[in-house]
Amino acid sequence: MQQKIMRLIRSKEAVLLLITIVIFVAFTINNDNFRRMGNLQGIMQTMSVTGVMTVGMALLFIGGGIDLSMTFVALFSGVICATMIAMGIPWPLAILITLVLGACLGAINAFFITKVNVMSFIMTIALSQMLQGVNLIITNAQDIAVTVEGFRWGARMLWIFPIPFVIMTLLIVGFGLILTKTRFGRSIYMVGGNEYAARLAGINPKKVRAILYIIAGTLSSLAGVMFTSRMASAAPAAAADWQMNAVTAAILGGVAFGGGSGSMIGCLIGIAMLNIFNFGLTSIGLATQWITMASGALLLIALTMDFLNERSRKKSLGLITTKKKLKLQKGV
Amino acid sequence: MSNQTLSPDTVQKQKFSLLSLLMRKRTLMMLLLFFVILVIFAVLSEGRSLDPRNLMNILNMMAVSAFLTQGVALLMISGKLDLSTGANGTLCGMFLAFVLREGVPLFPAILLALCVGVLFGLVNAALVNELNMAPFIATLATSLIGTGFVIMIAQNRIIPIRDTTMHWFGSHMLLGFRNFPGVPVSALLAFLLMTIIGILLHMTKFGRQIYLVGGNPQASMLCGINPKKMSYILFIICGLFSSAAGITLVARLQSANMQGLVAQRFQGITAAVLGGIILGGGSGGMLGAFVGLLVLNTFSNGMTVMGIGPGWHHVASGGLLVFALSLEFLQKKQAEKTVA
Repeated sequence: MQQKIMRLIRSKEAVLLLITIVIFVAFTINNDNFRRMGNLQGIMQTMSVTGVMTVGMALLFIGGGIDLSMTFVALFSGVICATMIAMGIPWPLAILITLVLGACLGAINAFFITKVNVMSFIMTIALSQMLQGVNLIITNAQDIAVTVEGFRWGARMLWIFPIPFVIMTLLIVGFGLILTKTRFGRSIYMVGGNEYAARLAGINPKKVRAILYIIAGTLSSLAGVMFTSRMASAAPAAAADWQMNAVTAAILGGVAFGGGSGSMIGCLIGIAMLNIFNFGLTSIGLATQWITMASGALLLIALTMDFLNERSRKKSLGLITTKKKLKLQKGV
Repeated sequence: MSNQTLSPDTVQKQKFSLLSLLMRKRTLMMLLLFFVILVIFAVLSEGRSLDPRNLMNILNMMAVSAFLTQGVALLMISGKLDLSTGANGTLCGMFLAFVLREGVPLFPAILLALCVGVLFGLVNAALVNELNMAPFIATLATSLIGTGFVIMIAQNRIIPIRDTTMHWFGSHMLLGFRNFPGVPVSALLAFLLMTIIGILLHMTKFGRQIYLVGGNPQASMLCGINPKKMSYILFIICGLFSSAAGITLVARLQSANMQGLVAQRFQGITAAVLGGIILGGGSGGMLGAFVGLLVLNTFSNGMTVMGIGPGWHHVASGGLLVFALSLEFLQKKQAEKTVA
């Protein structure tokens, strides 16, 4: 039992949680705005949109992929959902159709990446460019308001928790269980860690990745619907770069950028850390340019941490022994 | 390109057909596509798109993207990538406008702006080489930081430029005859540089080393090339060219705004990929990149002439990128078929 507790304390997640708590406490002491209960709920609400995306992004990272079309898939989904509701389609059906569309967009990514061998990041960037255009065409660069009262669940509370936050938590728990307890979950780690070995073990890496892209597409779509539901309107362009936040949160949460490791709990802590940080900066009254720069810098810090982690892992496995060998590896 | 890897025998045995020729010669294919696009838009717009003033417009638009393309094409040949060119260019243009407004003379101001570009490239290179980050994610992060600086300098305002030399560089026409107004100075400079780099790429040792590093990094190291040093140099060159693109843009607009090159941030990459420069590195050339640029710009200009809205522009540019990337795949398949 004692050993187990010690291991828990020494784990990566515990360190991350400690850092998050330190950031939280620091902001709470220094700032009155930050301390209010409403603010805490605000953080929960904001984090759930990027949080749902982060789940998809983390799954892709673990499986050795990336999706940079998430922001525009989400915005597109919001626009489509709002348009359908405005046309008089009942909102649950509209959400369902939107999610299916999101899955289809994920499938388009999956097709080009796994069948046509296009590099994942450039393909997803191309798709996001196209969706950006489609959004402008559909909306004429105007926001679409949603007036149906039932659709506004995104702004409601379940006890003291906002409903989007509950959805995000359920997704994290669900995918956490899938990752650790099911065959498919474990195969994701294998595909991301060593594709060749995975193939020898009878796993089809392309199929696993394709499923991950479809999941990522659906989740981004869900994030977009949640955002639209909270705001009661859909915008063709975002104020924030959600997908970069998702990338940052996932890597901050200890998901390896190169694939093969990471957990949903780490992911949750990463999301919380990033959002508390951003919210704190806003509550101090920092201007947008500083927050944009801070999020870029935070991403670089996270990537550096990832690099150091990877190196220490390699060192412990004996893959790198001397400085000379290290140089050789870097060169290659 | 892929046919270089085949032995002469297999090439001779291969059944000669137009399609297979086009598949192997990407530049030729793109040239053909360029003419097709030109003709289609000329027909659709009833000749308006072939108006000399519109042709000049295309050249004018190409000046900026030609600068963007050269830098990123060199990097891509060496197997790396830079997604921060747009942010870098916007920042440099904004910075130039800012220091000019503060009263710095033109020449040092331009030098300062180019230095910002070099610094940007240096940071990218350091992140990629020293911390082993994947180039695309590292440059995405630095582009966020660059955008932050842009907002900081601009303070949500447009900074005007009143310098006459800048005006001359941006919109003065040279080589005009009869009713053809000529080519803008900036476009001439961009094309001249592109030609020089294209020649250097094939004629000098350094140029050929870029291909080797991109094609097979391990072999290049055994040949005594330092891939890290090479990558530093190329990232800095890319930063320099992005900076030049930003300066050209503000020279033409006579002001610097916050949008800057954001809309064009993937143009360089799209043009290079269309022109046959593979993302993994080791193949392609400047001629291909130039033809890719032609295709891209005639296409978007044709849409503007037809009065098609900005939404469709985004869709088309994304679609072209996907098309170019799929071509790469088809080309590889064709090559495999001819070998088998």
